[in-house]
Amino acid sequence: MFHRRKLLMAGIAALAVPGIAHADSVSQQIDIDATVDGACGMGTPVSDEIDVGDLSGPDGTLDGSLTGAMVQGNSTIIADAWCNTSHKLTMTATPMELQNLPAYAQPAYMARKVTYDATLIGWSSPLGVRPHNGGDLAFLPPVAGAHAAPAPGLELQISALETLNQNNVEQSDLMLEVGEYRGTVTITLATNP
Amino acid sequence: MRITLLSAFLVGASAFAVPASAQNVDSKTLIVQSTIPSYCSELGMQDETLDLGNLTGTTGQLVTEFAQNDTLTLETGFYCNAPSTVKIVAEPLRHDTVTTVADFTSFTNRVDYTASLKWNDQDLPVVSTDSDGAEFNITQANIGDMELKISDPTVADNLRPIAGGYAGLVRLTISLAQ
Repeated sequence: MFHRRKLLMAGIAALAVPGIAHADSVSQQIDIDATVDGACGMGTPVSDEIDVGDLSGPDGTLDGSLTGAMVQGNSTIIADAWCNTSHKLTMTATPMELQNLPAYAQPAYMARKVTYDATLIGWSSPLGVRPHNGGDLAFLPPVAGAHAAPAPGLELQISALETLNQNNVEQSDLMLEVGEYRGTVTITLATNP
Repeated sequence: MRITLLSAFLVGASAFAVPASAQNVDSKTLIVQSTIPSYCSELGMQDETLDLGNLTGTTGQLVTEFAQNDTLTLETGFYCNAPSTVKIVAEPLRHDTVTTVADFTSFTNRVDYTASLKWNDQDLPVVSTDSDGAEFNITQANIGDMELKISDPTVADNLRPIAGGYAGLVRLTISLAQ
């Protein structure tokens, strides 16, 4: 009988004190990590083509209204330009060039290329380039940290046009050959490794 | 011989029929008593780290869902055998090194989120914008798997997070209710 009682008490004790750990209060800390990759971006330009219009004045040379400050409309806006880390801004440009070249050689008194000031404003500093050859480049020194263009965004302005001679040297008295002229401006925002 | 054996049997029978006590029936009541203390099982995990991956998409804006590893099983069959309280504090994801954002109108160094602790039938969410966290009263004993989910990444004013590493934490404390 005594032996049975001892067994019973041992059984109750075993139920009351389970073999696993327990506590009045437990806590746990979970660390959370994440990353943001360095990147830059630009929105789509309001217009990806700036149409300067008829380049020639009454005498066939460059219209005087185009040789000075920017004419209204000769610009476009690129909204939502940003870099979330240190970065570089570069701009390359080519002169406006006659697209359908005549079969004959360029006469000395004629122009088939027109240069211009491509000015980009809205970033940390204005940036400008005046192309005489293909791929003339301008850049801003690397900027530390993140930056975004305030509204309305980056504005590219085209101004101060001038004709180029056969040697890609500016010469104001040249007559423009007939046809379509086209140049390109490429703006690049890139992270600075 | 037959008479002798019968007598011996009768003597033996009377020895069993007359107990030493004066009563015919006796009983004793024994109380079997025990106490189950209130307690919770322990969380057996070491410090865990959830790597949520890249926080931004191609536009540099915050993702709408974390890219990876947003759920962690803390314990299977976790229990408290009495009412308990669960306190959760979620600290926002902050940039590892940049404490001040120069262009604060466009960028941020902080990403907030919701940390939800699921424990059996209990769903206990807290947002990292609440610096004090949240405390939940569990009014009954509870047992079940315990899982933490990180969700709903947010930034103020749709700002872009600046590049780099981010770190935050979730602190979880489960106590017996007083």
